[in-house]
Amino acid sequence: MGSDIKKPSVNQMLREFCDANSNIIGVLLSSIDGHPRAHCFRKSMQQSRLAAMASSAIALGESMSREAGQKSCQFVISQNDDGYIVCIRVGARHSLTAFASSEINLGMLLAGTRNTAESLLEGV
Amino acid sequence: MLGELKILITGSPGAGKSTAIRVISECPPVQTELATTDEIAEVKATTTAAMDFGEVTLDNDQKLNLYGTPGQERFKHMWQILSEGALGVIILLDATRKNIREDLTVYLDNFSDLIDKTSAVIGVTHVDKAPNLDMEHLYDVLAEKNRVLPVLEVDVRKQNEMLLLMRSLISSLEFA
Repeated sequence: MGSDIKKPSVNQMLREFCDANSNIIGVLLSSIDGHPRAHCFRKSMQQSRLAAMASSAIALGESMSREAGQKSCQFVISQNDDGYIVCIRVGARHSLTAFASSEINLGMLLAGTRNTAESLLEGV
Repeated sequence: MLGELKILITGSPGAGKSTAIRVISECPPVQTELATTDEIAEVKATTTAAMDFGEVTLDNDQKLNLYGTPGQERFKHMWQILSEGALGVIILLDATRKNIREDLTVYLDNFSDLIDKTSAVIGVTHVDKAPNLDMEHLYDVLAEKNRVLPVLEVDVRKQNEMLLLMRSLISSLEFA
């Protein structure tokens, strides 16, 4: 009798991350070069534009990290008046971007984003 | 001497923007390459997602800061950011692409404000691989847009050809 545990789909994983905390406004999975792949948003946002911008943000974050001799870039974090945006790589070909309100604990946001990225790595 | 000048290099994906900056920069350039996952992957494995940056000093000790943009329209946000403070733009077009007329139109339209205030030159690359290229198509587009801009064939791998393109742009700035 083999194990028949069904892996959650990408959309399910994004939904679970979104549902885990009411301060998470949205999460976007995109290709590393800026094409949207899947998302879960609580409010209307332009996924195609955000996917492209996430790609630029990660590219710049990684370049700055190399330039400063700080090795690999783990997160790109934007702290804004009304919230946070964090971007992280998912393997070689994808990225995950999480959008949250300013009420969220940043550490929890980063941990949740990292955990979701690791789970997605198996799914994408 | 005018201090440091900022020159923008834009153009169609695969035209050679990153290569151009790499070839002429006096210091190792900043490059922001990420893996391509779409049809561009047939042409190249990586693409610029944010910017390239390089530096060059011309014969008269004039220092130029070179900023390269991503080529794809979805990175338009970077086109706007990088255009700030640029004193001119080089538009590189890949002669082997399906619709070079459309490519030129995209960049003339999106950088029209910058070109209005400054100037531009157009470099056509990979000409050796496009024997059927008719440069008249480009002149037609320029005429439609009421633009009088130099159009030069260029091999971006050759430093002297890229420097000629730079000097053409700087010369044209005097008349802008």
